Amino acid sequence: MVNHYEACYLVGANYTEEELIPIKEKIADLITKAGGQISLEDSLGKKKLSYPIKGNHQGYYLIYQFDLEKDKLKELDRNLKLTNELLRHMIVISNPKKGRFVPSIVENLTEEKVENVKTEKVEAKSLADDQGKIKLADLDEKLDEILEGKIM
Amino acid sequence: MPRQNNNSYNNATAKPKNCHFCINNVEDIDYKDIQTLRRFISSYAKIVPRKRSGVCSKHQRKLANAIKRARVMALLPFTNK
Repeated sequence: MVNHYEACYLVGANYTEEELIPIKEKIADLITKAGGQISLEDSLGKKKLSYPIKGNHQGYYLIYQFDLEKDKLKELDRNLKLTNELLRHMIVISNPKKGRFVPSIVENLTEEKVENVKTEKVEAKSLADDQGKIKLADLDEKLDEILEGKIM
Repeated sequence: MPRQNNNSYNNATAKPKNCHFCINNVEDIDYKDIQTLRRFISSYAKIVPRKRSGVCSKHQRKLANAIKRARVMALLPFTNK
């Protein structure tokens, strides 16, 4: 079974931003080697940690979203644990459509919604117009009938 | 003489919904969204009971999970001295 996961990992601020790039590649390699397909790469940036970890007071939060076989998850988790550069990591099942920290997806969703609403409105309008015409025509006929009936 | 009933449970009027996540239509609470999570921890960094915050039980469960995840990732403190 393939699930969509989101891995967030924490790298201490004793690495510079340039040194982050090989670490990122290493993690991506781990995921792809386990048979995962990376769909998104993201970052929360450099942040102050709520408590010091191994003497680090600041760290970089980096994110990968990927699809992975359920059985391979344990292996990946273990490999991430064995990666010395990472202070922490967390893999969570994520719903790609509901991700709040995925600006590109969120934008697409809102655009789609707006378009949907627009089309619906247009359809509703046209429907209403049709109904109005039908009703008017019906009314005319009925009026005619009534008038004729009365005259007769 | 009929006793006056002051029990709020028996009030016929419906209570207004004041769960922050129900109002904003949030289904999954993200543990990386620290700004909203911070609103639901006390000054000692404890999880605020829903009696105080008004969160519904469904979302309180999800919220507690999210706060605990955020603590592990050092996004939120376990405790403030």
